[in-house]
Amino acid sequence: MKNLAATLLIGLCAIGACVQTAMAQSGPLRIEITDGVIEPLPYAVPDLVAETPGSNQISKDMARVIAADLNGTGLFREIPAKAHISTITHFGSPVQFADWKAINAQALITGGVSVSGNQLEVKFRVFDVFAGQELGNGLRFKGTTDGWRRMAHKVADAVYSRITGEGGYFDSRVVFVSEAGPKNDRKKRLAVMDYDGENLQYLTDSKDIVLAPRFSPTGDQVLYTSYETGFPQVYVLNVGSAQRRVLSNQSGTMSFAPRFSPDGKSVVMSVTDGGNTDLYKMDIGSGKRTRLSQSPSIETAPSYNPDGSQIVFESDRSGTQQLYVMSANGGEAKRISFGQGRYGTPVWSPRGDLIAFTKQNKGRFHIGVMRTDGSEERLLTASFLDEGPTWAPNGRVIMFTRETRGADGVSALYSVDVSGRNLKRVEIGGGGSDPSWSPLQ
Amino acid sequence: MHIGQYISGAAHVGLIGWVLLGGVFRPDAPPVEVSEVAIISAEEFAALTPTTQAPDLSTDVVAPTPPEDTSSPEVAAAIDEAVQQAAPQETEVAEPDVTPDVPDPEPPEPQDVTDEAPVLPTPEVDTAVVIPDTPVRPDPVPTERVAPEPVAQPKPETTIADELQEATKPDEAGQAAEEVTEDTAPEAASSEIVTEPKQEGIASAAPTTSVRPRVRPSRPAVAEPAQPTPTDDAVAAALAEATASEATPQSSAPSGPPLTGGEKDGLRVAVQQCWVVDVGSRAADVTVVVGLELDRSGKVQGDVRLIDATGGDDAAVRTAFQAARRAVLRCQKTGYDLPEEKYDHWKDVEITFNPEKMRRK
Repeated sequence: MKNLAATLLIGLCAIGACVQTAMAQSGPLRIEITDGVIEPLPYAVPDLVAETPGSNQISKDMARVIAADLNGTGLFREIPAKAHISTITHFGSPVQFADWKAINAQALITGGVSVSGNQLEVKFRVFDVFAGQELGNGLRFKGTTDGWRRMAHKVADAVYSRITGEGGYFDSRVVFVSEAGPKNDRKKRLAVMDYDGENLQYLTDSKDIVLAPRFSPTGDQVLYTSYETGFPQVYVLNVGSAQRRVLSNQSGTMSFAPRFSPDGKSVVMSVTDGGNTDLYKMDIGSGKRTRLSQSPSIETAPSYNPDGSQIVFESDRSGTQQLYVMSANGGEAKRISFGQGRYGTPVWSPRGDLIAFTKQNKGRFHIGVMRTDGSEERLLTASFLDEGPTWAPNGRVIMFTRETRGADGVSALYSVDVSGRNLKRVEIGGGGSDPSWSPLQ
Repeated sequence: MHIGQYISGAAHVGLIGWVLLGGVFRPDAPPVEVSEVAIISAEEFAALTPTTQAPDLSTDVVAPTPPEDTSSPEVAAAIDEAVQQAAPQETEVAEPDVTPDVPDPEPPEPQDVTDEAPVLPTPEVDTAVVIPDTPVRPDPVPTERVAPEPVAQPKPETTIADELQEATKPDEAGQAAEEVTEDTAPEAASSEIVTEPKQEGIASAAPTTSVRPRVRPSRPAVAEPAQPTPTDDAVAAALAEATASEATPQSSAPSGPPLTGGEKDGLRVAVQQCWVVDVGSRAADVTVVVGLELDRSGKVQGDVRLIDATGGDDAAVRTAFQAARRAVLRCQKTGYDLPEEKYDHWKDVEITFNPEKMRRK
């Protein structure tokens, strides 16, 4: 009986101790937040301080390019200059954070520009206004006045990187097929431009049909397919000199859909030989060709993963066009797309985490992304014809071709954030298709 | 001693047996449903049933036809013999069935019938089910801002502000108001990211299925303060004694009632509306825990510090922490609204920013 009473008392005490411990809040108040907002981050970028005579205009222009780059991401929203309370008169003067807090600027970019002859120097700082701290240290770029625009892109890349923690993509270029004329008589030629459509240059004339240009990992060469000989053949072109040479010229075969390996030493492409299309790898230095797939079906649109160990491609071996992944040395391929419709033109993200693709389903075309194992498929766009995605160098934005319906339909370049936001047309002053994004310069 | 145990045991066994077998716990037999019937005779029953048809008395019987003569096979040196055929048997003509002598039915004698209308059970009062007024959540529309609670697009001339207010207008007498301000409204927001394919799916706001009414929540029991009893006092004393040794090291723990759930939610909502998540970035894979100290007015004292982070590389963690710090600092304004009498409980705060749910938007 005594034992029973003792046991009961001990149990009561234990329960009581637990209850009391639970009721008494020891330590800090703890809360968990799982819901936030998705909105552009408000920031201010006053005109950069002109530190030398004659640099007034260029300091204003650079600030506008920086703002355009940041605004164009959809992740930032510039607070217009007319709302600013403070002005930045000296690059090194302390920042009045209260003035920038008052207009809800969460980030502040200040900078200074000096011009000496044709030499241009730009320096900048980025501040977290509400923390009252500078994000990173100040940075300085030197160049020529001709390259002021590119220097502004570099500043914007650094700002973007400090705020988002990821690399930028503003100092990059895009090679694409410029198109002019009606659908039944369309003139196509290779062109290259800055990512924002500026500094457009043509690399070929419109005499021959050209398709699917692809930048090299260093950005100085472009692979493309041309019908110059009447059959599709792969060419490699030097962007600086516009010199080109045929890369694959084996009689009786057609080669197309080329893409560089990440190390730039080899090219993977489709070759049609005897009515069958398979994937081949060609060493650029030796010209040696290695067959990667052996299937009676059509294998095409290969794309390497960032470390060059795997290749994603499209094939109709299952009876319908689907995506497959295999070793970069060939061998058995694993199917990764299982949704409704047909999948094509897969491109591995520079981050390595996603694969972008074109999807055709129920008469509509989509640009979408999925994990590299085929999971978590998300469609980002939908239209009469969307195709040919290419990744920005930071793996954050996808550019693609959108063609409108009808005989008067035109092809244009569009971009969209990987989250599905910020869909917009890239202004290039005409028609365009088959974009390929360069690495950061 | 043993005799007593035997007697007790036998009595218990008997009692248990009576309980089990005696039908103590059996429920009452269900009432037998009785319905009244009338007894009628066989003649009456036959009169009520229809007369059966007499069988067909047809006597036409088809006689079998005799087989035709067949030529015998030619067999050499054999004497032809007449083939013996069985004489056809005459079929017996069936006797016509005699119609059974069925007596004419006699009408049943009338019985006393009570001409009373059956009493119908009184129907229960028909209670209409009131479908709760559950608002149909509108399809998200594409906006620049995605927030936990969607906000409708304000009028074009409206200034974006935290609070909703209308501009003061002159009254009917034409007298000007004291202060003329402009319309303000929160910025339009969607509850999720709307991609182009999703926009195509927005064809109608009408629900495709009816909303199932919610179960009425049970009324929370109002706990009345219990009067302390001598027993409670004894238990409390025992508990206090038992936990005295553990409580000693935590003498710095705040006293008084802790924050209520609503007060905690108030702080959580205040911070989350300033937490900007970039769902496409790698920072969206990072959960950070930040620590901060508040003064009595609810404002952050000193630096917001990173306590813990899971997922992502260093750059992603740094970005996630900066976003969390901005959220805490931006939304404090004049200080978080917390009960000052409970300051000891919210002086130190740890906030976990978990973006997992945001990634699915």
